[in-house]
Order: sequence, then C-alpha cells, then structure tokens
Amino acid sequence: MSKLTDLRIRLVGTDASPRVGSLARPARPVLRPVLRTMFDVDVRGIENLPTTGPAILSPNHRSFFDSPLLMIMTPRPVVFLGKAEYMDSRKTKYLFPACGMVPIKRDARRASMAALDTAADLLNDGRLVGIYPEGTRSRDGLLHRGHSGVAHLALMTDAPIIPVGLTGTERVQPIGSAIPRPFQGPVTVTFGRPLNPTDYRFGGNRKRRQQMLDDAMASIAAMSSQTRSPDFSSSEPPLIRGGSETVYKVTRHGSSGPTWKHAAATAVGAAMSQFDDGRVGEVADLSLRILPSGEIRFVTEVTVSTRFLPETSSIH
Amino acid sequence: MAESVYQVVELIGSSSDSWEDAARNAVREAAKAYKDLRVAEVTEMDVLIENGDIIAFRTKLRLSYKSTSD
Repeated sequence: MSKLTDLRIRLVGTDASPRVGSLARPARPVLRPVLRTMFDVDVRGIENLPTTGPAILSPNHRSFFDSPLLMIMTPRPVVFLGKAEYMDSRKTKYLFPACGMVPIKRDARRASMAALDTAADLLNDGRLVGIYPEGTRSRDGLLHRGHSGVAHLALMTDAPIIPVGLTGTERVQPIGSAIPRPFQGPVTVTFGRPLNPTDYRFGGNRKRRQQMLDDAMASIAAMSSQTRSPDFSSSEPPLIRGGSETVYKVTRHGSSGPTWKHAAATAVGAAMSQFDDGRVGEVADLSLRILPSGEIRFVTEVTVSTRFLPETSSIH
Repeated sequence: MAESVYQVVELIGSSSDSWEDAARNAVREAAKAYKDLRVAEVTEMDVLIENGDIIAFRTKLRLSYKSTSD
C-alpha cells in the first residue's frame, strides 16, 4: 500500500504540490506516432525551436486539442499555464499537471500577477512555456487580437517568442466536443521564426511590446491561414495580461468650515476614514452657505479615488 | 407611466492598450457589483506617462444603474 502511495506521489505529486510534467516525459515518445497516425499530424519548422534555453510558444487557439497536441509533438517538453478551475475537479486535478499544465492558484484579483510570475519563473528555469496570445479559444474561426502579456513576458525575461500556427485541430475537436475525434486530419503544427526581444530595442516599453506582439500575430496568421479580427476573442481578461488594468471608484465628500481650506481638510479626513487607499484627490466644487445669522460657511467638495472592488461594493 | 430611479457611480478604468479598453474594464468591473447598467457618460480621458512613454490609458466614466430600493 505504501509503495503504491509512494509511486503515486512520484508520478503525480501531492495535493499541495502536484508534479508538473511527470507523465508527459515518458508518454511523449509513445504518443507521438499514435497522434501522427490517428490525426495525420505534420510538424514543420522544428529548426526554429531552440534546443536549449527558454522560449515562449505562441499558438493560435481553436480547439481543446491544441495544448495536448503541442505538448506531445514538440521535441522538448512544453508547459502550459492553466486556469485553476481544472484544479477543482478530482478528475483533472492530477492529470492536467502531470501532462505539463501549471495550475495558477487564483484568488481573483491576484490571478494575473501570479500567472505572470509563474510563467517568468518557468522561463528563467530555461523551460518552454506555451501561451495563447488570444487568451482563449476562437469561437468563430478568426484569429483574434492578441493580448500583450506574451510580449510583456518575453521582454521581461529575454525569452524569444516562437509563433506557432495550428491548422485542422478545429475539426479534430471542435468547441463543445468532449474528446478528440480520430481521422479528421490533416493537422499541421508549424513553428515560426523566433522573435528575439533584443531585436525590439527602440521606443518605450509599450511600443516595444506592441511591435513584438504585432509581429507574432502576423506570423501566426501567415501560418494558420486564418482571417484576422480586430477584436479580442472574449471579453474575459486573459490569464496572462500585459499591464495595469485597474479600476478606481471616484467618491465625493463635502464639508463646511470657516475657510475652504479648512473644509477641504475635513472632507479629505472624512474620506480617508472611510477608505484606507485613497489615491488622487481633486477639489470638485467650492461654494458658500449663508446662515440665517448672516454668518458665512465655506463649503468644499473633494473627490477621492479608491480601488474599486466589486465584491465589497454593495448593490443598491 | 414607467418611472424609475437611477443611481450614478463614478469610476476610472485603466488599460495598457487603449481608452476603449479602459472603459470596458470599468464597465466589466461595475457589472459585477451593480445590476442594470444602462448608460455611461465619459467625463475624462487621460494617459499616464513614464519615461516619455504612455504606460496607461485612463477613462473616467459616470455610470448609471437602476436603483432597486423599491
């Protein structure tokens, strides 16, 4: 019994740390000829893959079959980052990581940071990491606008982007289909010319990121023969994001006092006692109130922005 | 006659890509907290600059949502 447990831990790890890639390594050479036959898989451009060191594989995404296909057909082990939803199911909890998926633990807001950090760590370890620039599968067959996270990661870690064009996977396992259907090929996997961060030296971060992403998407489009769409494939934010996408809530606070300055200070004080992360303050309105006694009170209204958290904002 | 009351909340969305994305982010987040979002008025747009390059596009919105206090 203990030997069995031992074997299980060696193969798939424990609840706290599932092992990544333990099944993928021995399984790949076995599965490769099976896939070639069952799905008529043709792999091109292998010379474009670095034999050692980190690289980001950036494929188009039309099928659930894309990740297993790349994990098996790429000559070196590839890891993909997966949404933690898969980790909630007992069935996939060990299977997915063992096949090379890195689960991203997500407590909602920190998820994209965690994904970026995890991907950067894997690249710094010299691994091949697969990231779909479209963020999610294309439902209409078009090649959608890429998210800048891929390029951000490449520039951050100095790892090259290898654009990958996949064709035919949408027939093997269309969206909504539970398992891949054999003999629906041909399927092609084309590795494009690597894009090196050192070739994107000019301009600021944003410009370099955009240029690199544009080149990657153009290369993918040429290999996948898809028509391009200017829109993102989903309104959901992707796991790997490029930059700041924070939302702030602006609140107004008013107060009166013997001077506008005094009233402003009181209003800001009231705002700060309500929020512990007030960021930018602005004077929104100055007015005065004349009391029946003839005394004048100065009224100042200020706006303060704080981080907007939907889960703590009450529904009125 | 239909009579309804709308509340207004002011949000600033930001995005590394565009003002449109910044607005989308703000609306997406707001939709998680408020029901029946109808109209958003863009009140201000600006950019954050770092080292001579734009690092974020920001869009300030006044969003109205239906008040359900009835």
